[in-house]
Amino acid sequence: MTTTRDRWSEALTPATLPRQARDSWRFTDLAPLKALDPGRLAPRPGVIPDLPPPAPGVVRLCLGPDGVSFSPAPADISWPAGVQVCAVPPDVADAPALAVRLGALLPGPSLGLQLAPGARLRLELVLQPAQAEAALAPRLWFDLAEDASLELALGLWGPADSLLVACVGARLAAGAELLEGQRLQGADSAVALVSGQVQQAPGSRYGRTAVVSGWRLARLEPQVCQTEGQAVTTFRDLALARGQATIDLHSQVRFGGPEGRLDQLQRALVDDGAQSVFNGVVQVPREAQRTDAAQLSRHLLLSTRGRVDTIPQLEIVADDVRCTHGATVSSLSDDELFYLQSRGVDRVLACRLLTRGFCRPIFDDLPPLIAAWPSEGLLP
Amino acid sequence: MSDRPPLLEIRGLRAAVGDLEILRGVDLCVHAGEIHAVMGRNGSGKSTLSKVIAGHPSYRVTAGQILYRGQDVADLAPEERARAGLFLGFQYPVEIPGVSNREFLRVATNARRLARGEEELDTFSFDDHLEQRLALVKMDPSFLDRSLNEGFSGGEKKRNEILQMALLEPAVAILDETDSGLDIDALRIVAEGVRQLAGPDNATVLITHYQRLLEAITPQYVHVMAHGRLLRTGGPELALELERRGYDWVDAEAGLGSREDVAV
Ligand SMILES: Nc1ncnc2c1ncn2[C@@H]1O[C@H](COP(=O)(O)OP(=O)(O)O)[C@@H](O)[C@H]1O
Ligand SMILES: [Mg+2]
Repeated sequence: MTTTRDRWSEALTPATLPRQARDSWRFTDLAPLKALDPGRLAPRPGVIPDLPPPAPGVVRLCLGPDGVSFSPAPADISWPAGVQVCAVPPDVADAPALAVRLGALLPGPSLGLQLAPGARLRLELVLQPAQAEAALAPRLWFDLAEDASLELALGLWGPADSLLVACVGARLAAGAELLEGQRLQGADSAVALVSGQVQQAPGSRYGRTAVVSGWRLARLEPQVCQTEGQAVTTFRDLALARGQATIDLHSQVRFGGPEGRLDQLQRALVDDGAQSVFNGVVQVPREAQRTDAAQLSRHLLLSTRGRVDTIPQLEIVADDVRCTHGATVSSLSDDELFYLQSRGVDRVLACRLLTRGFCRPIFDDLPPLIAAWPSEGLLP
Repeated sequence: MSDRPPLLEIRGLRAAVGDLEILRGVDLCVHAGEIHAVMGRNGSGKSTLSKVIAGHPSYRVTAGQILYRGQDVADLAPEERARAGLFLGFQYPVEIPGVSNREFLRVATNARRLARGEEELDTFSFDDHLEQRLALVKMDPSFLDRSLNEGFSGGEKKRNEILQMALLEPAVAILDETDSGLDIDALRIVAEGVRQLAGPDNATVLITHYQRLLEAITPQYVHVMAHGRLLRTGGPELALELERRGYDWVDAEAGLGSREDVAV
């Protein structure tokens, strides 16, 4: 019988990992992933999170003592009306996302929920392994029927030398709404790979906000398909890349029909020798007339050793569309610093005020569940 | 008065950006209780002078001295000059997205208070203090909870500058064209604020190129700046003369010819 460890070791061979030359990995070095020792990675018990108790009506699940299941067990929970535990669909073996392929080889808690028409749920998933060298691969699936609404807060904490591979899938029927907040905070040797697969029917809304801080390598690959257009997708990403971190966002939104909307804002702060990669694919085929898509990428580069790679990728075939794109990389402005200093604010604090100011548009607009989590240690 | 040492004394100040010399020997002496006006054409170096005094890093002082209360400020960072009581009201206040005006005002006020040996104000006592000062400039409190200067109109930015001055209680305030871009009402409010804050222990330098502000605040001294120097000093009547005759005669008297003739 092959053990997880064997399969896992196999998965990390050069033959199975994506080749660095491949377009989508061209700017992202996989070395931090290869540096993890598959023989030592194992499920680790979760800790009780250092968070205020959940608000009334909010369900919070944490990583259980075995490190591979949720606690309390989803089956034991009295879910709100219309919410039912279901199976997580099997992973697609040839799914392009590395997270999907590696996740299938790793142990991890899984949760599938079905929301009946009109059902509402507020859910917090807090996955915080207690020890270093944790291996964790949560698989989450949410099936929202007409007009169902799910507010989801997903917290992933990565201890030293750990690997977190998360796959989040959702299907939104007409009028359904998914508001997702992700907070990914990792040690400077930890690796996170997070994929998302969301299908949106016309009239559905999907809002996703992610704040990523720390890690040695964190790669997020949210993919959305508006199957017939006429849906609304909002992406808000904030990366705080410091030390040697590489924080990589590869997003993809496909409009399968007309009149879809996308509002995407990516911001990253890059300090020390860190790197931020942003690749935002927007696909607007011929049938997606009157699509309205706006994508904006803003980088604040604080160090000369830092690196930014932005690769916008607008694939627009339809002709009657409004698609805008903007990308900026800036450093702290001398005039802004001088203005603050001229009022007695010392340079260090002035830099901090400006960097926080840069993060604020996303920070001030966090979905309510993760906004309630304390933000100490997140912002510079 | 004259037995007191000046609050601000500038001697033979020259300053450059790269190889371009902008200030070409400025002398100015400001005592407590005085109001000075510096007038001059666009491009004559007024803003540069104010920024050099405040310590802007883009300008290199190549000669001369800036003495504040008798101490050379050359080695002081801009924030140290500010905490010591030098204040620059910007001609173009900078917009800073994401930094709350209220938080900024509190941080700045407390930095100055600490430097004066006073206690820091906590959020509540600061808000009280702020409310009093706000009345002085008749600023709508909603501007406090916006990002610093972001999307403020010209007049709102200038009021915010005067508000900062009112909070920091500087010993020397240099107000760079605080009057430009203001309608009559706003000008009156700003002038009133400046007048109320001016006292026997502080001094104000108003940079302007209009007579308008000087009708509301009467300076004891009027200086004319041209080509990076203060070419002439007089009383309030000099401002009226400039208004009537323009600036060419100042250049002519200084033997410089009009601006068009000067190779820059
Ligand atoms: N940072 C700078 N870089 C280059 N030139 C400058 C800079 N600051 C000022 N100058 C030049 O110096 C001259 C004086 O400018 P300024 O001090 O702004 O004049 P004023 O305030 O009297 O209108 C102008 O010719 C201006 O273009
Ligand atoms: Mg000027």
